[in-house]
Amino acid sequence: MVSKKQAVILLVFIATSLVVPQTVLANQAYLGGYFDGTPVQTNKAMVSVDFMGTDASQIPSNDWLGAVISAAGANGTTITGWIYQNGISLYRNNTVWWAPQSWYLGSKEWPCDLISVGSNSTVAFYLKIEQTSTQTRYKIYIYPTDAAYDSDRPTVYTYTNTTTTSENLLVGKQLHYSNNTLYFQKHSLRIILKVQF
Amino acid sequence: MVNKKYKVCLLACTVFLLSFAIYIQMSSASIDQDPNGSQEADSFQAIGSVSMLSITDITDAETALRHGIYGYIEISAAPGTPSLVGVTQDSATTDVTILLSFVSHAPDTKNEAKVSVDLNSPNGLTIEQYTEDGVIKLNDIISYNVTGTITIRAGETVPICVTIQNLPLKGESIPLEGVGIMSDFDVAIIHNIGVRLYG
Repeated sequence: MVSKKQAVILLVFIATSLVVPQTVLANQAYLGGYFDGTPVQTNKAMVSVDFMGTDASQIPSNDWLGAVISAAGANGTTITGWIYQNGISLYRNNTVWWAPQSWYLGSKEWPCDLISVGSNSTVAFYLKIEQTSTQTRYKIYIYPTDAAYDSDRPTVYTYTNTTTTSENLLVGKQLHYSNNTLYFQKHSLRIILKVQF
Repeated sequence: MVNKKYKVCLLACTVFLLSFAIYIQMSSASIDQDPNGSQEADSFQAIGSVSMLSITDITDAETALRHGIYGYIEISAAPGTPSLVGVTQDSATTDVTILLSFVSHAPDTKNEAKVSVDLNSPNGLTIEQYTEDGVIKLNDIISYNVTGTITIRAGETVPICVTIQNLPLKGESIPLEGVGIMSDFDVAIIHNIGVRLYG
């Protein structure tokens, strides 16, 4: 026999377990975020990331926990089709890998290097993309210890790509033929996205 | 009678909620599956994505080939190399052997990879270490026993000797990775030497 109270609890349970996660996902698939408003030109994009306190053993064996910035290449305010991505990811074995990557019209372009750069005990990572008329420079500033951070003595990896054809980056969003194009995005928590799909 | 009404009401609500959840799931899936970029779908925020290829993507043949990557070169330290290598501050030099191994995802069409070795290339990887006395650039303090273009066949491992010159570090260290080593555009490189040089 189902009482009134039990029926209400059951309904609340069904509603929260089935509806709420999907609604959140549908409204914001990128959990990191992006700049709103009219696009502006810039030559630098940068974010900081750290995995301190993250329990890497909770990451599924074939997955990773990542953070990546994506910026659109442009000449002035005209997009070129290039997308520049600078990201790092933490794996279950507690290693962190850096992945600077360029894409053109949806296809992967050079470079495609993956570089081991630390672990979840690394104090801080700063990811940066610098764009000039002749090259794209991907950088990662690594502070492995508190002492390195306090004295501002990072290890800096730079990956330079001179094959791109953008003069600058765009930050913001804009409508293109009813498609809402986001020019700069900060992605994170890929695992959560994959689980919810 | 009252219980029957509750049961009917409960069943109706459950069916409604399930339908709504399925509708939301299908809507979000249609956005996720769009391969070409941003698309507006119904009233949802337009979302398009460019992948970030990870180690698991590069080493998985099916995923890598889908992105035009026909294999990868892993750069690692020779077996027995300690994770910390002390470098003297006098005129002596220190040698470390690194290994370049090529794994092809399509041996029939991509059975060798061309690798460029050039520490002064304007492209590719460089590493700098900020210290008390200034900035040390790894590319400036090492040399390889080979330069130019080398060819590595699928399944083959090629050793390269890295000579480290006088390292002006005082109790500090700098990571050793494959700076100045680049591959064909359709072959990825996994830098996994895992050695630090300290003075």
